[in-house]
Amino acid sequence: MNEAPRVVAAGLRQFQCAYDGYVEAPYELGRMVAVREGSCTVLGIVVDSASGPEDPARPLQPPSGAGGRTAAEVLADNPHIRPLLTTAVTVVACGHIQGEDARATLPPMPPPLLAEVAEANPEEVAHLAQDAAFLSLLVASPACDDSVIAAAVRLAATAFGPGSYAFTVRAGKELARLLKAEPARLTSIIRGVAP
Amino acid sequence: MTLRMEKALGQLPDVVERYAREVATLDKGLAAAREALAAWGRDAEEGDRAVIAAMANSPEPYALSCGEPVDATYPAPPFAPCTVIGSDGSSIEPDRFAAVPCYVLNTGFVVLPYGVPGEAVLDSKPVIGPEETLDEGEDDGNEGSGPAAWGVNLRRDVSEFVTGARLAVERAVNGDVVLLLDGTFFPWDLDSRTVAEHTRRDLASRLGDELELLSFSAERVSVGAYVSGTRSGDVARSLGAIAARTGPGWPASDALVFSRLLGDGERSALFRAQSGRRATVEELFPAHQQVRFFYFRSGEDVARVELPAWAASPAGVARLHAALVDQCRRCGGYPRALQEAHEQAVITMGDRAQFSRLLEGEASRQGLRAGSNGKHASKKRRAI
Repeated sequence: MNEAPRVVAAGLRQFQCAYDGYVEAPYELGRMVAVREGSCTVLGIVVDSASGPEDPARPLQPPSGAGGRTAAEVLADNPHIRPLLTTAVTVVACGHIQGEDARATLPPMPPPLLAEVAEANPEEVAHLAQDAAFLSLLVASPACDDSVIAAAVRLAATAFGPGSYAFTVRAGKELARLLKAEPARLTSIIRGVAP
Repeated sequence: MTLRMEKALGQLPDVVERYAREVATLDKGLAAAREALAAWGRDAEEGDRAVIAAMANSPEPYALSCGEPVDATYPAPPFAPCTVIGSDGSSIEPDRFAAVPCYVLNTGFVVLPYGVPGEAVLDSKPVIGPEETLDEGEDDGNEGSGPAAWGVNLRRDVSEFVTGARLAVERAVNGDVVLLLDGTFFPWDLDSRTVAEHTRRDLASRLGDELELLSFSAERVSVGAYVSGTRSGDVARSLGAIAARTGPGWPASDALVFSRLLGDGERSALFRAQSGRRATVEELFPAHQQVRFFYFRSGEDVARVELPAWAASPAGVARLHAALVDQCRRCGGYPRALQEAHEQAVITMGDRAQFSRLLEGEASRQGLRAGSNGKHASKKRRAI
């Protein structure tokens, strides 16, 4: 079990976190994550993740004779490779929680460097996302393409249990309001939300 | 001004041509050396006698037979599950222009389990020294004093061995282990007169203790100190003694002799390293720690692999040989564990510059300034 990733670069709008090594299953696209250290809990949506060599000057080359074997088999047969790899995740801030207040606005300050980044729990997701206002920061971010927003809605809906359909409808209405000048984009996102 | 290529390059063809002529004249010498090797293989005792006789009048190291027919070649046995450990080191020598003379040792190490339990580890251990106040005036005679006498290279070599040996003992509980070291088995600076005598004595004692501890794990641990592209000439010298030939036209390096004898992945017979020189590094260690060696071909490279006598059992050598072939297959002809240990150990030019700046900053914070040196300052400035 890998440890939770930690913040390695932080801004108000976006931050990056890195795992201690390579993980095959990092936080998935659209997942809401939380940084619970600092003056408030910063919430954000995973918009990208990338794995590769820790040292960019040493590109990863497939070992010879690896034909026909799975990645897990190749890694097991070449134990030096995994410790030289790393996985990083990029997160776009979509709100913060301070005390009892959840606000779908930028946090007052970036999350602390090296703070742990955890999956937001269902209460945090529901608290921030219930009115779907968190989508405005995502729509405004150049780092969020249509599939990120669609995945964020789909995954956030699961925090509402039986109310997930109602949440999805609210999110659809919020997106329609935010994207009234971009009908093609709205259509693309809605298609991505549909089960 | 940098090297003026337009002036230098004109001289290059002549140099290459001269060398090519020299190599061509070696063919006869190599054929004669192979005949001497075959004769030695037929009668090991007679061959050894000729070598020992030659040794008596020479300070140079020679090779003696070690139980296996000296002209035999051995294919690698199949690779069996084991942990391969590699260690290598890098260092920053004391800068005589710095405000504080100090050195850095960075020992890189890797632990790679192949089909045995245990986690893979790739890491390094930096040490900034001197860790204690060194008494520079303790030694007398013609030995060096000051930072030059600290023996940074020797400390690095010993640290590489100690790090690798401890990991090997630790991992032996999980199964067989092959420990690979970069370079020769014994650190030759142990008899360097530029290193303070008490430093050499302390490090030799520490190395001896670690060697003894490691030897207790002989059943499970193989050891090989790997010298890629070796230029040693112990066997060639012995063959010269047997054939009563030396000088021009006789191969000076063992790699030349064995490059035509060994196939890819094969090893030569085991040899004993010995010299008639007195007060050598070897004399600091007991008989069971004395060096045995064989040559190993990986692609076009002929490497010399040194190991202590206690690790030269047939099973120990077979495990080492199989691991070398497997390691070289994984890394373009050089052991993967050593390559990764090197990567962990390496101190880049950027690291060195940053360390220098940090040292200067810390010295300045504590009120120390480097003495003025015009040449050093001018090299930093380089202004016209």
